[in-house]
Amino acid sequence: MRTHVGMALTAVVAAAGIFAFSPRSTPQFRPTDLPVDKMQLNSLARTQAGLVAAGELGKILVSRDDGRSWQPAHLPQDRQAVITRMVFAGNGTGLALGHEGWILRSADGGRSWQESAFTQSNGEPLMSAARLPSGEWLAIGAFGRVLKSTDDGHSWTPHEIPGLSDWHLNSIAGSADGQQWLIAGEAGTLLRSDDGGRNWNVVPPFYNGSIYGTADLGGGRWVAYGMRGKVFHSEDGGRSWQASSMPGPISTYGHAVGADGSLLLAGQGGMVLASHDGGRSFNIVRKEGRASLTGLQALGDGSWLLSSDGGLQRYRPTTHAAAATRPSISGASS
Amino acid sequence: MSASMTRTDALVAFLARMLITWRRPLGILFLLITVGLGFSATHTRLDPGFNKLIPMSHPYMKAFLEYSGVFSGANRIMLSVRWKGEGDIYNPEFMQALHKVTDEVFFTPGINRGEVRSLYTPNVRYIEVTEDGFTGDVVIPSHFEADATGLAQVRANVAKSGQIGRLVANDLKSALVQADLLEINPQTGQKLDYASVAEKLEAIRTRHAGKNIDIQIVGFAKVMGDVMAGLSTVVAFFAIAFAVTTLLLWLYSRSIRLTLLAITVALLPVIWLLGVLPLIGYGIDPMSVLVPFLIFSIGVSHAVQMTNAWKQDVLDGQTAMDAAEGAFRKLAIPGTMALLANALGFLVIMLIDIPIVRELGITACLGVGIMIMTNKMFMPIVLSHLRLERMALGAPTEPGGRHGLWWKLSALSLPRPALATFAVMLVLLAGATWESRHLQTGDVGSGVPELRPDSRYNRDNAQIIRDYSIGMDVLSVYVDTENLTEACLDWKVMNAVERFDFHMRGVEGVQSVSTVAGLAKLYAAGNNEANPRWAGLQRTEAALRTGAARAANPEFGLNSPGCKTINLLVYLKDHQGPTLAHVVKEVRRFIDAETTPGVHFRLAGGNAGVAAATNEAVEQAEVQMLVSIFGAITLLCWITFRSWRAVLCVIVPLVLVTIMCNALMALLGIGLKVATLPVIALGVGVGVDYGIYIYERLQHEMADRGCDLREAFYEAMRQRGTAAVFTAVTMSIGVGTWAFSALKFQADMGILLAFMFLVNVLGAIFLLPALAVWLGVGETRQRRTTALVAP
Repeated sequence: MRTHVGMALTAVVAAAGIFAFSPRSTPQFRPTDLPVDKMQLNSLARTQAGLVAAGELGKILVSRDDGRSWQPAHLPQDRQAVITRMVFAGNGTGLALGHEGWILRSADGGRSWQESAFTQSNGEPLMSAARLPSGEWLAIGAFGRVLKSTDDGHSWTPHEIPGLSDWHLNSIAGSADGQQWLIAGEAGTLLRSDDGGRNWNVVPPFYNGSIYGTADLGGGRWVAYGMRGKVFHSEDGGRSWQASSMPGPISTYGHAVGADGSLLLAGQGGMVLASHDGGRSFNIVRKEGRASLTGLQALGDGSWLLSSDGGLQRYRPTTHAAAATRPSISGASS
Repeated sequence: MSASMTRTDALVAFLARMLITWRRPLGILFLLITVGLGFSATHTRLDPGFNKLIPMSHPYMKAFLEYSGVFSGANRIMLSVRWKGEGDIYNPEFMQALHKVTDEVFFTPGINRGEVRSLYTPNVRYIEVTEDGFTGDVVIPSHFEADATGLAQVRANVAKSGQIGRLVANDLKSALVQADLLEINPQTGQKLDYASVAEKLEAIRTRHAGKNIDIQIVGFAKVMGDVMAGLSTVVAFFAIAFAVTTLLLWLYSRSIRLTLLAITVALLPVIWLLGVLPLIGYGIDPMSVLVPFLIFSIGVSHAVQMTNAWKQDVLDGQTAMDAAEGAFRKLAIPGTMALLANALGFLVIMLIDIPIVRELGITACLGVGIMIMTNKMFMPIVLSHLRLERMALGAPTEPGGRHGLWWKLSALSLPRPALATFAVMLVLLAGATWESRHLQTGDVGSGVPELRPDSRYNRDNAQIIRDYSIGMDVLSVYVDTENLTEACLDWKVMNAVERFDFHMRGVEGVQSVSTVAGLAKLYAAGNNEANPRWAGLQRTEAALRTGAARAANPEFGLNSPGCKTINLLVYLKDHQGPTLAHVVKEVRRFIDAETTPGVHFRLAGGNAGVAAATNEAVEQAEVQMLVSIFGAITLLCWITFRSWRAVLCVIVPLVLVTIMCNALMALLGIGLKVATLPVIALGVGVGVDYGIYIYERLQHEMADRGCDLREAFYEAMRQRGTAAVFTAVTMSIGVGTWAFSALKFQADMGILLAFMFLVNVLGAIFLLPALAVWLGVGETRQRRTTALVAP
């Protein structure tokens, strides 16, 4: 009997030993996720689906909670080509454009996408697109390529615009009334249209570098922004351009317009610049980090969500800058 | 003694007789060997080395060793020159200091001169994208003058070079000089002398640090230098341990002669061992330096047991010679068994597949082997010549009646008090088991684990991590490509690399990822006026080439020529065990899902790769080691005692103490790693001594005199208990001195070993009798007596 007690005790010690030295659990780590704060994002938009961001390896992300969490959008093919820009038109159609002539189409604000073009070999990057008042779409890209769709983005055919060379084209944008249009690109390339994009005229080059985007400020006032701190403004619908005053040689890649007419440019060195005088002069309102910013969206709480080549960043502007943009921001990365 | 003799007893008695008969020639032989090996010991050298710390046969390390010659950077040193004065680094005084430090690093022997990088080296350039294309040049022009124009020029160039955060601190208050060391000097073919490199770096710091300039130095060579400097304090610890042991010995024996004898005999195996090491081509490294302590402590413990046995016989009126023969006879079996158990402890740590641990095991085994000779043979020879002093004769080891303390303690071998022991034990067991589950594998905390968190090196390291955007903890994953002359111009290969880059950026614990694909995208954008929307890998080879051709420059260290091998660098937030395990698991997950033909991902290199492999080796070895040591000791106990009750009485306390040791590690924040894993084996190997010595006496008393358990336990404690407690205390002090070492891992080892030595004796004294009574050791005696002592 006595021996049984000793044996039981021995068994308890043995069991404790086995338990103590059995494989130990390691601390729990957050499951691996899309690196939204470390990935290259070229475009950020707000749609009826929420916030939509896209970029590296053809990833498109959707957030329904103002950027706190992100879910991948539904894509039929994993093409792994960079998405350069998303455009959402007034009729609810959205397009995503990428390298390798890739075009995706969404009818639900970016939650799900169908492929409408992809070049299997020798594809080139597409950079931007726009839906003209006629209902036709124009897509533009590298080496002066222009594509046209007459079926709301389902199918695409090459299109010729007289006067274009093979310089890269970076952006196509229209005025709020849909009449004035600008196509901007490399080596000072700028085309303008006064008739809703039917006919295009070449604006004589006033700059030999790249123009990355143009912003309509209403009433025929436009701003064109490009590399190394080169920003120009026009007050006659884009016919003539004057250099704007910039605080440094900062390349800018995206813009946002507040309802009060103030213009924000996002660019190199994590910088956001603001103009309150119709684009004549800009001052730095945010300078943080080394990323190149590509887009900007105002969030419900007054802070900004910025897309960059180094991921999404959140920034709470100082009250002065916030007041200027509070009403709402549109067309961050159009 | 007993009339009945087993065959073993007869052999032991014969050996004892031979030893005493031949004592003179044997004694002279021992002295000659000591002189010879003592001379050889003067040639013992320090032998650290990067590769000794690597688990060589781990698959990760096969890849690492294969590529470590191709990709530099594993053995990198960095000196951060910090400006403490007004303003930033762009001033004449700082620029001059940086120039001089760069030059001095360049001319330090062992440096790979082509790989030295600083603002002053020609391999650091700036690139500027303008409307007309690229322009670029060295950051500091050759005709640089530190005037206002020159400094403004350099400031502008640095801003364009992309080196802010890399070679220049984010706050513009310091700049780096970065260099790689060559393990083998290509001119002389000699192995790198880490100590001399560390010394030269320290000299650079002394020369240039001053009122306005401070210099931080990090890198493996500097760690090695600091570790070696820390080793010199070991000599002081040895002196302290030696002095304390001597004093305790004297207090215990009250005899200067016995004290000197025990100390001398304990020192002998240390001298022999240090003499043998150079002969077999071994050196002393930061870990095996602990072996002399251990050998000395164990030597003292066995010497005490033997002098004790001898003294008791002398006090009983025997001659010194007869007493010496008797002491040998009595202690030959338990002593040799105990030493064999020690040796087993050292042997099983060789299961840890890391050269530095293997060498520790070999060195320690060798030491124990030597000790069996010196202690069991040389000691009786000297004892047979010895005469006790008057003071020792009057020592209170043999008072008239019973030894009060031991008699009271022996009550623990009665059933009821034993239950109280069990209650305490169960509480300890439950607490320790629960706490031990929190033990972590690998390093705990940040900085270099070899050194203390507040050491100069770790403070330098923290400063550099704060000032720059570079991580110190890098995991390299290698990609082997097949049948491609320019793999980096192949979209499929580059896409696989890009997807890896992307996947790893989403892993918790990863700070950033650096790959040739990421660089190629950056260059592709750069080629298009730095427009981020061009930062992609295009499928067309001509388009891919615009970025990849420049990115795939082997000089960047991200790929070999032709991209036969691509080096993917994953920078981690820290090198703690769980972080490494998680990141490695995620890498594996990616590799398992990867199907691109002709592209093979292989783990792992970089310091984090080495650490991950080491942790895996340690974790794997842990269970193996425990099973082996407990299995071996069980077998050894069974051979000695031929009784499963005896085996349990000795093993159960050991298991309890081992669990408690793990709990202590978790409690003190000590991780299970290369330095601490051997402690368990050493602690168990040495800790089993007490149980063996006590149980052996207990068994003998019951068999020879037929007394009951309490009487037998009392006798065992009276004869061996004092010596056991004494040795536990001296050994704990001997290794406990390491707790004050400048080296973190030595301090960890010291604390844990001291704990194991001390608590194991408590286990043997308190738990062993309780187990004995409840396992029925006393009851079965009557039935088994005949069997036990039958010839």
